[in-house]
Amino acid sequence: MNFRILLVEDDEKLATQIVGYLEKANFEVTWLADGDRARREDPSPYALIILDLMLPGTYGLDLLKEWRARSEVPVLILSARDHSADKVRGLALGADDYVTKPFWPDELVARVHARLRRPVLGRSTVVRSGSLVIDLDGGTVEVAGEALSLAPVERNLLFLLARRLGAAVSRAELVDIALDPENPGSERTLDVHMSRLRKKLGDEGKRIATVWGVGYRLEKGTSG
Amino acid sequence: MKLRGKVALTLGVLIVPFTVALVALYARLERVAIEEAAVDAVRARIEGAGEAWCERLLVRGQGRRGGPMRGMRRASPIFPYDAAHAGLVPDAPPMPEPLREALDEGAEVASMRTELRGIPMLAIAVRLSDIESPCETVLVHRPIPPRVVGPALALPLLVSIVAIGIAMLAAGPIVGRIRRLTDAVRQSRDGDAPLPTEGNDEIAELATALDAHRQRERAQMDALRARDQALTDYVANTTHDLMLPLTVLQGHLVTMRDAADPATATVVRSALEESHHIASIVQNLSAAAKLDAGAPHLHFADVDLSALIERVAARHRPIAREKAVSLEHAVPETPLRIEADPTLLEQAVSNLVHNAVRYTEGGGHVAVVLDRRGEEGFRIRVIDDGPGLSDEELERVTERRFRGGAARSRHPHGLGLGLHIVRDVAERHGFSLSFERPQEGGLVVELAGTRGKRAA
Repeated sequence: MNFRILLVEDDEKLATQIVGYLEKANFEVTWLADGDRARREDPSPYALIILDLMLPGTYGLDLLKEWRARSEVPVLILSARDHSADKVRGLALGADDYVTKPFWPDELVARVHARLRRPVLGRSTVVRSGSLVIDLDGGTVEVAGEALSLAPVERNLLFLLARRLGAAVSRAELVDIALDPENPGSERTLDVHMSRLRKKLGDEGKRIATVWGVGYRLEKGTSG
Repeated sequence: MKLRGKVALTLGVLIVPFTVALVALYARLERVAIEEAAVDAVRARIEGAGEAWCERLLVRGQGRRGGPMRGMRRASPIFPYDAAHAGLVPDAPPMPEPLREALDEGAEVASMRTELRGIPMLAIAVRLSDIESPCETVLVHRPIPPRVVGPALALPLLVSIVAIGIAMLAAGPIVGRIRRLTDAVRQSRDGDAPLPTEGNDEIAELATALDAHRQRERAQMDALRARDQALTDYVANTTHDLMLPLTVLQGHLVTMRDAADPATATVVRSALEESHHIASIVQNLSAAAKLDAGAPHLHFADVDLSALIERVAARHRPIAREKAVSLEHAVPETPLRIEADPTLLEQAVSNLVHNAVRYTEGGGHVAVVLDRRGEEGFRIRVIDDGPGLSDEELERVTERRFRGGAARSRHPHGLGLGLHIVRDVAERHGFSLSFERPQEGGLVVELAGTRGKRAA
């Protein structure tokens, strides 16, 4: 599925580059160079709008305000103005995020992916990583179709990582949420519990990656 | 002490002793006059009596009864004494001790206050050593005028007190004007209200001079503010103008890198790294201008720290990938929000990550971790396994324009502005900033604070 993205940017050189990056990342891009045309455009067909704040004759935030009156399409602001007031006002008016110029193409594409990905993650209660299946609501864990019995601490740790699938979780947060923070030595015992959990997961134990300087991550992976 | 009090005290300190000294001097002069008159009278009577004056005194004294008061109406009696101060006539009173001592010390005339039947008298002893006779010394008494005691002193003191009172009253209007001038100076801000300069005296001149000085200062401050604003606007506009071409440049370099042969791609990667660094410098210049301009240019608002960390990590991930440096980040499960200036705080965190990625060799690691600390606190840590800092560098690390040894050897250009901005932003927000060198090497920089806390 190719997401459709609306780009509102008046600088031709930059707009051409951005269209190029996004199309390379398999997005369909519609580019508008002025605020008046953007104002008349219906936002609903688009999965995301990338909006430059400084358009000739139009202030980007005014456009945003008008769109928000009729649509909830995610909006990513592009700004060269290093003004906190603009960013704060933009977020208050309903922008979802902002990217400050100069930016790398990879950075922009990554932010677009992040914005488009979030609603999907929020709805899922069954998390899959390889042959590991974790039912967050049901409270069950299966590896290669077989139910797995875990100690309460091990379950807490695995479920926390599963809720944040693909994202690194800090040691401090793992200790705070999954272990007893009042128990001295909890930081040290975290590694012990993780080691036990990995062993119980067998081959799929490698799905729990150690993240240098941070803590742990449950890696995404295809089933089977 | 207020001015009127000082005037009263000064007058009191000057007038009262002066008055007392004047009265004492007058009393002394009067006494000397009485002494001299008595000596003159005695000598006149001696001359009038001729050589037998002493015998005549003795004879007269033998016949006199009732002591020295007798005959005072006509002429005070003269009592003769020998060299041992013994009276030579029966009714001669004993030579008073003070007079005796003064005469023994060589005084020609000695006197002292005394009383005879309640009447204040001056007893005067006169040595007659220049006249050969048994009458070595004579003693006479003279009445003291009644004004040389209390009432005479009281009048000048009363006059002094009245003078002090009048002076304080006269000082009233002057003190009042000075107070009005002081109040006007205190209440006026930036010279917006004129000072009371009415009058044609020294106070009016002072008020006029103060007013002129305030107006000059106000004009200077206005000029400085205008210049600061112009400079801030200039930096903001210039950095804004640089952002777009930098973005386009970075985009072209990425395209070139992807299309180039391996050797050229290496060169392009190096150019990408430098362009990333230039972008960081430009953003730091903008932040530094804002910080130097002060509080009005800071904009505190509700900031999603988790989103901020994710943006910063995303910004530096491409360059980290180019350098083969692993860049990981972690944020709490639920968003963590604080009150901060979003641009400045993001720039500060970005500077820490930028430095960590820039000074870590390929194959190294950088991590950015956001944790909650209790109910109200947060902690951002930027951790790397790069060259770290020496003891000296750890101490000096946040001086403006300071850069560590590794930085100097690897990157001879640069400002060292980034860490200064981090420290400045931390101070403005009331956050703590610490640098730690772990045992295993590298560097841990920690920025911590509480939600809603802001430095005064």
